[in-house]
Parts: sequence; structure tokens; C-alpha cells
Amino acid sequence: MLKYTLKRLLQALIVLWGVYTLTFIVVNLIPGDVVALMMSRRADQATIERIRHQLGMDLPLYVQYFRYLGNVLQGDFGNSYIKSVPVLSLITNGFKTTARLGLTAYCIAICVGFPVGVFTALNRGKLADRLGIIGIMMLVSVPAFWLAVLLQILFGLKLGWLPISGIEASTWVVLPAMTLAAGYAASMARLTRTNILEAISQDYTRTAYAKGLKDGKVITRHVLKNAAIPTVTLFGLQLPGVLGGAMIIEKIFSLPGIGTVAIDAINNRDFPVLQGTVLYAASLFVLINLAVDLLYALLDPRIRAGVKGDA
Amino acid sequence: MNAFQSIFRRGDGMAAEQAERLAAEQSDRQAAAQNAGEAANKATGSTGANEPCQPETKGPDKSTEGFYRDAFRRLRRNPFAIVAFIIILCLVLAAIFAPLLTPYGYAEQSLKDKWAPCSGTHFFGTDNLGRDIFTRILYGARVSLSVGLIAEMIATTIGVLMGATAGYYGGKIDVIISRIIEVFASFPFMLFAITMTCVLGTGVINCFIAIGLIGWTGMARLIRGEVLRLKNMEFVEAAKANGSSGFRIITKQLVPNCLPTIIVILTMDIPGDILLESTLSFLGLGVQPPTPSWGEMISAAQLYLRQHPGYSIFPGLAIFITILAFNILGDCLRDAMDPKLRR
Repeated sequence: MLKYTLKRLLQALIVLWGVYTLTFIVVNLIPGDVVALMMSRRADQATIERIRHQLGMDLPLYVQYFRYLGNVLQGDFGNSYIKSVPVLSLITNGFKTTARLGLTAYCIAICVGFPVGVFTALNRGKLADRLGIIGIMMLVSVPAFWLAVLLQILFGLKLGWLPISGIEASTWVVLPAMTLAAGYAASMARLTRTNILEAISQDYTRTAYAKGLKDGKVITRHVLKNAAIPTVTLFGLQLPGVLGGAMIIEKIFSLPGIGTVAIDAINNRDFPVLQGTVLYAASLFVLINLAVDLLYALLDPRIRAGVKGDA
Repeated sequence: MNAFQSIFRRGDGMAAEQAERLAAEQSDRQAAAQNAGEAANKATGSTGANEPCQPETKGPDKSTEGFYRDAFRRLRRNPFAIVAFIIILCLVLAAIFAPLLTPYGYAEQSLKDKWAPCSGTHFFGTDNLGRDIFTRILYGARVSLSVGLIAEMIATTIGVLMGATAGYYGGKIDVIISRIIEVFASFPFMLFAITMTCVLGTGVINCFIAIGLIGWTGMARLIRGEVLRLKNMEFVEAAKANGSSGFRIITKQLVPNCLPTIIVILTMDIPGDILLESTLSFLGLGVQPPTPSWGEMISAAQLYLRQHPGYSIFPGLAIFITILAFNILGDCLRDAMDPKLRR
């Protein structure tokens, strides 16, 4: 297990380094830079050169690469070109909004998705199941930004119940969270349904019936318990996405979350902020995956053996 | 496996970006466990049952044709598949014959007709410049459908090549390619798309390329798993004994045998691509006006949300129906090619 843990840890580090490198390359491929954008109207060439020098943008790329890498390793993501504040503080500020939005959406998704999944699976083949599947399919297919617009029209403009942008009102989270939850709820419902159907066809369920257990007991004691494991895993795996920021939704509802920070950074060519947000989101993804992997390996010895023999 | 495979695809809204990764992650885990089981000779007859879609193409034998005919027969019997297929066919025809179906041009303005209501002359009404919304939706289908086609072609080519190479050669090559896949998969999906459009510039073609460059990791992972499973089979051994080169074995033996998997993933990835294009265009990073794109239309309509909500509803419906049709068809295709249902 120790060997496997070390191996996975090393892999995760390599992937993070790869993400850093890819980010660095892509960001530097973006044409135009912040100084030119800021100064397009008034500054003369000398001023532009001076500012570029101050920001370290006149250094050769490889120097910038290693210098920034060194800083990141020490936990310093640099300062925003535009706002002159540390990137890290921008991210932590955005995190509050994003986390609140994401976790609310998560709760809605669980409350809707899990029961629907259970219900459709237990009524397999009946009308309720068909309708449920169609509903899930529609939720999966609806574009988030369009759903956002529809909800804004209905609840914000026609009914006037909820605010359609900003975070001033206390109910700001409702509409964006509903939009975000649609996709998650659909995933959750489908996954739960499939898992339950799979669990019902397993030997242990047959055994449970064979020893004379009632329907309800088989479902709660055996089927639901087994079907819940992958569902819980799904939660863990979706977490980085939830906390990484829902850019489109944050933008449509004008929420100051991490997604908005990232989009602004791209529009303003504020590269340190862009690099910081990408690294933040990617690290979340890599680390949570690492945790899930290790947990799986702990539970399933075949994985440890497989990776050893495989790679 | 099936569970994860079927739940996640890039089409489901904001959950999309991680969904595909999760599926791939999951498939890796399962594949690892499964390979281990096989290696230890402990797999007792249930080995294949967990793979996403494992057709009975155990080699380039005669049953291949039977498999496709079988799958097609099952597909034909599924009313959902038929409806989805007809919708997609109508969309394709509408895109191709758009000029014949409407008397207006997509950029044709008529200021005296602006904000005309839905009527016999303007089915969906007109927009702020007096352009016919129905016409623009018809032409918008061209962009959305070609994104599905072209971006997916790019993604499939990269994905299959990377996956098959990693799976077939194994060892160091596999380690390197697997890490590259992980790096791309860890990158925040939407952020990468937006950044790439900044690098390449806006416009239809660049938008396709950006989407293609992101969407290949899921395919690569699944193909790698398939190839890992296939490469120890007799027909590959036979090809090796024949003296075929690695490249030849990959292109002539392994890829054709992965085809059912490729077809299913491709169909399931298309809605994700369409969604991504419309999202990018919605943000003003994809297709540029006056070329109509459904996402761009919804974006333009946002300004008039209060007075003319219909303007944003029709293009959204078009995206919704298209994605829904592809999702249903992909689902049905998977079911049709799934060995578990094979009788």
C-alpha cells in the first residue's frame, strides 16, 4: 500500500507540473498583453517598456517559467497586473461565492436526483420510469446558459420573485443554484437508477429474497446500501468541478466567484490571475482524484496489484 | 462501469466538464482492477461484463458483420432511436437546404419590420434588426452540426491515436501518454476552451479546432483500455507472427475492432461539442456576427430579455432539441451495441 501511495503521489506531482507547464505555454500564446491593453490610448513606448520591465515581462520566457514555478512552490502566485493585489486573495474571495453556489446546487441535486433515481429504478418499465427517464434526459440536454435565461425570465422578470443578478439580495443563490443543480441532479438520478438496477440483479439480492426477506427490507438493507457506494464516489469526484467555479452561470448571474475571476483575467490579459485560477482548479481536481484513488485502493486490493503489474 | 459511462457525458450543462473526466477516471480504475483480475486468473467468466460496450468482435472474423447487422436491427426496433434519428435527419436537411426553406437571407435586415411578432411571414418573429429569427435558426444549424462533425473528427483522431499507441506499446510510452492525458483532463474544461479561442482567435474554424483539441481525452482513455484488452488476443498474435509492424497492427487490427466503442463515444460526445460551441458563441468567443449561431443569438437576446423574451427562447429550443436528439441516439446506440443485452 505504501508503495502504491508513493507511486500515485509522484504521479499527481508530475501531472500538476504538466498542468503548470501547459498553462504557461497556452497563456503565453495568447496574443496581446496587459500593458498594451492598459496603455493602448495614452502611453508612449518608453512608459510601456518601463512597466513591462517592472512586471518582469521583458525577461526571456524560460526565466519567467522557472521564476514563477519557484514562487508557486513557495505558495506565492504573484500579484494581479490590474488590481495589484495577490492572486491568492482574489481566489479566496471568489471561493466564498463559488462554494456557496456550488454546495447549494449540490444539496438541490441530492434532494432531487437520488429520490428520482430510486423511484424510477423501482418502477422499472412502468410509465413513471419512462417519464422519469425522459425528464432526466431533458435535464441532461438543456444548455445551462439557456436554462439560466429561462429561469431569469420566469422567476425574475415575469413573477418578480427572485433577483436575477448580483449577490446583494439574500436570495441571490436560488436561481444560479437551480441552474447549476439541473445537470448534477440528472447525473445523480441516472447513476442511482443504473446502480439500483444493477444491484437488484446481483446474487446477494436473490439470496436476500431467497431467505424470505420482504421487498422493503431487501431494498433498504441490500440494494440501496450497495447502490449508494458509487453515488457517494460521484459526489467526491464532482467536488472539484463544483468548487472550481461555474463560469457561465457566474457570468450570467454576475456573481463574483472564481469563474468570473478567471473570465475577467482572460479578457484583461491578466496572466498571473489566469495562471492562478487554472492551477487552483487543476490542483483541486488532481488532489481529490488522488484521495479517491487511494481510498479505492484501500478498499479494493485488485487495483493495487493491477497498477503494479500494469504500468 | 456502464453506470458511469452512461451517466456522464459532456452534454449535461455545467456538470459537463468534469463529467467526461469522471467517466474516464472511473474507467481507468475499473480497467486497472479488471486487468489485475485477469492477470491473477481470478476473473471467473464475468471479465467483459463491466466494459462500456464490448461487442463480440473478438477478432476480424465473420461475426463482425453480424454484430453490426444485429446492432442495427435492435436500433431500428427502438422507437426512441427512430424519433431521435428523424430529428437529426431533419436538422441536417434544414441546414443543407436552408436557402430553399426561407425567402430571407440570414443577415437581411429590414428595420421597419423589427420585432415583428410570430406570423405566417415570420414564423418566429424578427429580431432587433428586423432579421427573420426562423431563418437565422436554420442557418445556425449549419454551425452547430458542423461543430459536431469537425470538432469530433479532430478529437477522435487525436484520441484514438494516443489511446491505441499507449495501449499497444505499453511501458514507458504508455506512462508518458497517460500522464499527458491526465494533464489535459485536469485542466478546467471551459477555461481551456476559452483560453484556446483567445490563442487561436475567434471564428468558426478556430472554434472547431479549440473544441477538438480539448475533447480527446475521454476517447483516448477508453480506446487505451480497449486496446489493452484486445492486444493479447490471438488475432493480434497472428498479425505479429506475420511480421506486421506495430503501426499496421494498430490501424488494421486494433482500431477496426474498437470501432463500436468509437462510434458510441463519438455519438455521445457530439452533444457536448454542440453545447460547448454554443456556450463559446454565447460568450462572444465563437462564431462572430453576422454569421448566425444559436449561442450568439441567445447572447444577443439577453439585452431584450424583458421586452422580447421570445427572442432567446427559440434558439435555445433549437440547441435543446438537437442535443436531446443526439443524447437519445447515443444512448440507444450504446444499448444496441451492449453485449449484455445481446440475445
